[in-house]
Amino acid sequence: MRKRYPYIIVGSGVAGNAALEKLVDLGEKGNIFMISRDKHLPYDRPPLSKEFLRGKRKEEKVFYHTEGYFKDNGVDIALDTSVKEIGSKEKIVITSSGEEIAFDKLLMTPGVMPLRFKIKGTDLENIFYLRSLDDSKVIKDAMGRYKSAVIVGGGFIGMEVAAALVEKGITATLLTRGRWLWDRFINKEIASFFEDYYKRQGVNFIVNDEPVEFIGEGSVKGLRTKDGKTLDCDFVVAGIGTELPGEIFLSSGLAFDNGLVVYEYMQTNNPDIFGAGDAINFYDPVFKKRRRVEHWGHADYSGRLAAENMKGVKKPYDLLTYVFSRVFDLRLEFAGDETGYEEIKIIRGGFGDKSFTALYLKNGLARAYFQINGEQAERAELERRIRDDQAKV
Amino acid sequence: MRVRVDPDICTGCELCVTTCPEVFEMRGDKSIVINNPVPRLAEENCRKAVEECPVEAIIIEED
Repeated sequence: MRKRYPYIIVGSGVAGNAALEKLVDLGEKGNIFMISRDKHLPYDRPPLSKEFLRGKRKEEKVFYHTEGYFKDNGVDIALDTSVKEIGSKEKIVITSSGEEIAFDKLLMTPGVMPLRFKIKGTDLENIFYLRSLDDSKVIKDAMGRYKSAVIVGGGFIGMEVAAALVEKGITATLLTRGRWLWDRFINKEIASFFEDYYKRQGVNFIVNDEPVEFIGEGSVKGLRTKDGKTLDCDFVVAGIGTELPGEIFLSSGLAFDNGLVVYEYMQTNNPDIFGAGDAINFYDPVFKKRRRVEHWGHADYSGRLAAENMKGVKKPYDLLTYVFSRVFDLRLEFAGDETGYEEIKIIRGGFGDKSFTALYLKNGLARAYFQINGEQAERAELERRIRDDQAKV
Repeated sequence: MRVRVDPDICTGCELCVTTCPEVFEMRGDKSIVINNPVPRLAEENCRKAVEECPVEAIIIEED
């Protein structure tokens, strides 16, 4: 007889863990099976590019739960295991170890994978990507052994890792092909605040350029850029984007289009299969469009929401998506939809105070804010404003 | 002592982070627990944070 669980959760990242916690809270002890590619019990991701890397948080403190939590709540977990196939009609999953396990409800939280370089020299050692705890440990280890690094990619991962590196006294150069830092998020004016700030902390910046070849024998010793620069370094950390795991869904008959397509209750085109996290294409009711969001807040929220809806609660998605970060002594909070704005207005503070808030507008209506070292009360007020304004669109 | 914040209840008022920064931290608009089990020296502040929480979102899992 094949084993059957009322709930199977595939993936142990932020979304998978959030769903697990919610199901346990809702009384589903003993009814859950979690399948994870990772070798470790579920752990939190944001510290991996920040506190953990900087040595401010010990390894045991990045885990969500101890082993006791799984035992006490009767949660079975298969680590270092992936799902090879989903039998949507038969309601089974087939794991990498060949096991067939049946479910009543399935939640897929596969996440996304770091995009890898496709240029000469990418197989050299000491070119690192950051997704898992083990990835972070390898980078942390390199930080203890080497003196200089190039960070490729001017997104959150790149910015956070650069901050951690210079704090440890490593010479860090950040190379981004964007016109400026975070060019998807912020305008040139705000970017120059961050660039100046980072430069003062010792990070070198090269914008509008990208690597075309890694140099070295055995391990990386540097790279050449499109503009013809040669940058020497002992290691490279890349945060150059992500890619979706698609194959598994295509063969399972689940709708997949820029992500696993889910409807308002996080259900897929199969009513017994749900999705959450970075890999889902969901309908955002605030901005009235389909989106895919790769941030902690959405992963946590959609995981919990999927869990409730798997229990039949019928609660629709309603989050004003947000992202946060902390670099050096700056606390960043961004919420809303950064695409398609016409104007960014500074509505509080100034760059000199290291504390300000920028509002993103289109046709005079608010659609996002970016707050640096600000207060929760202001964020709550801005969220109301964005929701009110977007209701008029 | 182990604690947990229920993110569905937490309103992100930051009171617990102010009272007991050893244990609580803001993650976007919610507070999360960064130190479990709670360090012995932080237990008193942590209990204060549990009591003060205006929406009772902090749960003591193990005393």
